[in-house]
Amino acid sequence: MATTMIADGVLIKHYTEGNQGAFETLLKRHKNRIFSSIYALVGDRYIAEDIFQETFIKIIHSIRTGKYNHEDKFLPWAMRISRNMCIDSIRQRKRLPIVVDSEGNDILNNIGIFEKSQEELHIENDEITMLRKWIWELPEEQREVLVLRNYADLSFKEIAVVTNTNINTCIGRMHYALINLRKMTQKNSVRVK
Amino acid sequence: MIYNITKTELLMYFYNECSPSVSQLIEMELDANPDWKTYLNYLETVQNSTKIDFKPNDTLVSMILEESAATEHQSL
Repeated sequence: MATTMIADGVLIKHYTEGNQGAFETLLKRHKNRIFSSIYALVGDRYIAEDIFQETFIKIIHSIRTGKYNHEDKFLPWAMRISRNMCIDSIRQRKRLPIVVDSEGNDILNNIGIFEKSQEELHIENDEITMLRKWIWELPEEQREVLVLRNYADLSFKEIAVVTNTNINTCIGRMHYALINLRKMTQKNSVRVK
Repeated sequence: MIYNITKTELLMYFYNECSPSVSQLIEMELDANPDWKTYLNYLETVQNSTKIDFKPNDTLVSMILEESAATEHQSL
């Protein structure tokens, strides 16, 4: 059995030649990173699942129609597709009227990255939990760079391509994200080690 | 001797994206520059806050795999 990891571009080529297993390998290799990034951007599991599914339907269609020409740059390409859907979703949600529950709270505040999902139930570190919350409170552009760097593990150069900017802009946004997180930390007097 | 390492260079170093020469310099002088260490530790804390994998549910993954297989069958 081959133990060397097959490159993404080779897997896609095998898939176009009829090897379903190749696509399965590709999906399993990247699904968590892509899903994590989407979830971190939109803050809602259900919306993240929709976008994740739509992203891969688009990916499958593009590969099938011969539109994939990124060789081994599959992950940045997939992230670009999902990122555009995330931005559309976020903008759409901002246009929605605020719906409140019986106590006057915006129900959208109850849905999001802080809902107790299975992944989060075991987390006991308050500082990390608070940081995760403040990441969500960053301006969209800053959060996006932070998410793409830390969740999707894209390089700043790749992030620049995904976000249609340049590397200096991405680094600048990352700096501001870190400064703002630091300010929130200090403001809330949570000691971050 | 004071080395003028910028926060950008420290950021790039943390993510293994800086030049080998800068990387080597940082590594050599890190112990003598507590501010650099503080900043790198902060970057690590922020990174640790994002370490959890959010996983798509298995049903969703199965649906995508079915879609990819349906494409293949249609082409046959």
